[in-house]
Amino acid sequence: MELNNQAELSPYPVESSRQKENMSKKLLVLLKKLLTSKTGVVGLLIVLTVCLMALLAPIIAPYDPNKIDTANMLKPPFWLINGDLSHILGTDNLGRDILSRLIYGSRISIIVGILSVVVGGLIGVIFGLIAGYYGGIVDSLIMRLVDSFLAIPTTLFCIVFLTVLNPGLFTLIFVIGVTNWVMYASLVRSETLSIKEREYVKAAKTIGVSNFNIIFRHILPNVFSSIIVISTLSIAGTIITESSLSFLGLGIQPPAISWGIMLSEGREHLATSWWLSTFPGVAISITVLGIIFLGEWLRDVLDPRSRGTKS
Amino acid sequence: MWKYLFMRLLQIPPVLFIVTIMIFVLVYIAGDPVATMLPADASPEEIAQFRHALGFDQPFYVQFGNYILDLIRGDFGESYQYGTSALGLVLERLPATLELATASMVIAILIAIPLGIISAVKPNTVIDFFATSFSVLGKAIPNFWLGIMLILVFSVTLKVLPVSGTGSYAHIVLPAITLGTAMSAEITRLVRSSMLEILHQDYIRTARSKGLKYSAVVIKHAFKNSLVPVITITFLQAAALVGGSLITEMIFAWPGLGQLIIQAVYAKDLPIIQAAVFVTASMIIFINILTDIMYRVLDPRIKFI
Amino acid sequence: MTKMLEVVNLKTHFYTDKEIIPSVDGVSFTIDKGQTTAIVGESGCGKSVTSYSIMRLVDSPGKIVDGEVIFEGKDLTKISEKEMRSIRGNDISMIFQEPLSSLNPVVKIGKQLNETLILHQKLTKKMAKQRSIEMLNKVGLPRADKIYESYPHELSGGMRQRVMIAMALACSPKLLIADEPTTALDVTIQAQILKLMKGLRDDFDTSILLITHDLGVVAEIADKVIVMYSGQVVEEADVFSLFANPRHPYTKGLLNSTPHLDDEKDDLEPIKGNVPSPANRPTGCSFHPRCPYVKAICRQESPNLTSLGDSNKVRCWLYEENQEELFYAENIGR
Repeated sequence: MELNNQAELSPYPVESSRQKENMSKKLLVLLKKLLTSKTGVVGLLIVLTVCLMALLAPIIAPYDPNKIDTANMLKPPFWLINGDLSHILGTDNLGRDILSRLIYGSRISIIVGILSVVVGGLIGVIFGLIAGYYGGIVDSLIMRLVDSFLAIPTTLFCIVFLTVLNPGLFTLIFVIGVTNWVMYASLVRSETLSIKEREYVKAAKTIGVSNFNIIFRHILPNVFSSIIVISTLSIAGTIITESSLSFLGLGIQPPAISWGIMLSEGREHLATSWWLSTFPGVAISITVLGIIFLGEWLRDVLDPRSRGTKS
Repeated sequence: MWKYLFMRLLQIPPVLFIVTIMIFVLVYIAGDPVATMLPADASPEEIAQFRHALGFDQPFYVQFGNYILDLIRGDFGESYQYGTSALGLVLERLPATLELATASMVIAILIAIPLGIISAVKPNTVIDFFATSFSVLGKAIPNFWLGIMLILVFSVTLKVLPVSGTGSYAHIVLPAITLGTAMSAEITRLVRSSMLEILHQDYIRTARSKGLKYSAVVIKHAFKNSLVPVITITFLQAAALVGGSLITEMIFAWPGLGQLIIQAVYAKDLPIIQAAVFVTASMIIFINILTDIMYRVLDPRIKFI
Repeated sequence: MTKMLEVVNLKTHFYTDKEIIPSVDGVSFTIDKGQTTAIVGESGCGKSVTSYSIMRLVDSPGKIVDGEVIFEGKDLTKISEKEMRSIRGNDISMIFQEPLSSLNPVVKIGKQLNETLILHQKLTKKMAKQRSIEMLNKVGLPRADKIYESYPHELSGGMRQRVMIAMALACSPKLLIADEPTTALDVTIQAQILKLMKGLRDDFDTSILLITHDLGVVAEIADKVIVMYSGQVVEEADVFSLFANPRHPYTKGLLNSTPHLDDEKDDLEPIKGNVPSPANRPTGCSFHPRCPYVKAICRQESPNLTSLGDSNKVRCWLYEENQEELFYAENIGR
């Protein structure tokens, strides 16, 4: 009985079978809460759809996205004159099926979106923990580095570095990730600053727990929900950054398919075939919208400070 | 006040120094541009001579030292494309970018502030729904796509506004709306949420108990309080505009800094890129400090320490 | 004595998604000219909502659903918003519990004072400034011209409440509503503010409606006391009879739970139980679950506010013998 009580009072998650049971219960409660938020449900549905699209692209795409079909060039979507159901959203200047290309394009968005957030998150969280926990000269140095990164706009930073690096998927993920770390670093730093003043961290210090253990077992778990929230929200930003860089020809290189590339190809046919540059933009907007909805709902549920401020 | 300002200004040199290092690292990764600048059939002697002339055969630290010395003199080298001073070219393009940025800020503020206030005063109405949708959509729609769609609707289909270029007031409308929308979405959101919070404060009740009109209470008492966060975010957004204008300028062929940068990127014109990054970073640092000072001036509760 | 304000059967309800909360549930009382009337009760009894209802400052989702507030022959609940605005701050003004949050933090004191004067008395800025500084002097603030140029956060709590009083009295209102004016202040400052209010009441010939939970404050300043419980008036009496001879069991409880220096027994007797939530009031007399004198009828039927011969009134079955007999005849006696 007393042991149980201690586990409940423990300020950080202790792994035990009982807690794991609680975890699944908590997940259930979370899901129930999700269902009460309309935008949360919409967001989740959009995100799930896009993820499934990316995962099952070869199965659901009606055509090979790179198959050139000179007989069917610039075919309009089915509801317009000359359009038909064989190409629901029409074809591009090389006769490639737009719907299939959109479905395949989701893969790049999802991969770049998630991985660059992971890269940025890893760098940022580590720097933030170090700056917040050790303070002093290390902190000032890291914060000046943060200031310097903040002084260069994300797009400019990416463009400039992509000019001198070999373009490709991994370069792109790395460069976008690097622009992202600042946000995590400032967030984790400020939370660490307040958490390290709490009683249980001080207690852990006095009984000789190593700094490494304090950071990873006491501080990190407490910052985790905030990290999840901003990670989700920043996937939205990275997807937009990826599409703009690919639009400029600095990101993903053809024949790989990205919504940004589709937009830039479609732009040349804007005057005659509007659908080429309209659908990829719609796809980006809807995906980003879904992620924002999901992220904001997560924030409302996980981040106690923002609770109640939204009306 | 002066002491604070001084302390704040002291933070500029280290930040600019790190930015400089970052630019240098960039140039260093790029390797020497000689290969791309000379014709493909240049002889090894010609290449060596050219490398020597540009200093690319020097060791790393000498190159960095020379680089810093040049930078202090404001010398970023000469543009590979134009053969004139890179900094000169950048500064030449700056006014056009500032003009566009100002126009989009004006549009953003004109939309965001009334929309934010009205939606906060009348929550859960049609206009509030419109304002919240606008502030979410403005964030979700990629800037460059919005630009393309505006061209599609207003230039290609309706033919009421020019597709691109400069020359008249009509030319600035579409790029300014493109840039202003995202900014406006962010400001609307902030105005709404801060006004919602402020309208429940005790001093609003006091103001109403004096017999003031509700509109006067909202503007004189509530909005004045939300000015602090609103102006802060507007300034920060202005800093973001400098970066955001890159693609917009390209799409609308607006002859500003952004277009220059994109062209330099395609031509791998490193001196221009360096100068542009340096100028942009300096501007953003300046705007950030200005924001900080504004913030303190506007809120009497914050003292200069 | 002439009536300054008459509240008749006032009902203010709050409409939430789930339920209707009758915060003020049929309150009636009068305020006489030049007198101080106090409304006393625990938090949540509806006393503040009553005062906001008089000023028509109840925020949505609250709404005045029934009743009249008669002031100078007009029913304040019926007149137009424009007419109401010309009364607010001019004929009836208000001071609040928390002087720091009740003053606009980014507007200078002087400007906040001038506002009322320019609005209602149509003074020029220059004249308003003169009058404002005069008012600041009158409420006992030293270096008034310096305070005129200050921001609220630069003043102490007591000074801020003096500023609030100056602001409220600037247009010499006929009625001043003071909502817990001393609750947020230190005890010594409390006494000063009460003394100031008393002095100004006589100078300006202003009636005061004082909202408080503090019987000490009531004893200090009030002429007439209205005790509210659960959205209703349970007792109305002049201040002397109330303290000497409290009628309602709730009033007795309140008095017993207040410490007295001159009292011989030193143990306080708090009222058992809690104030019922306004959304979920007990049937019958809403005080019956906490009442030491509870009878069968109290659980079933709500008593009326009955006059006790003098101007005093009480809402309790203990004082309604006839009706009680009638009730028994009808229900239990059968």
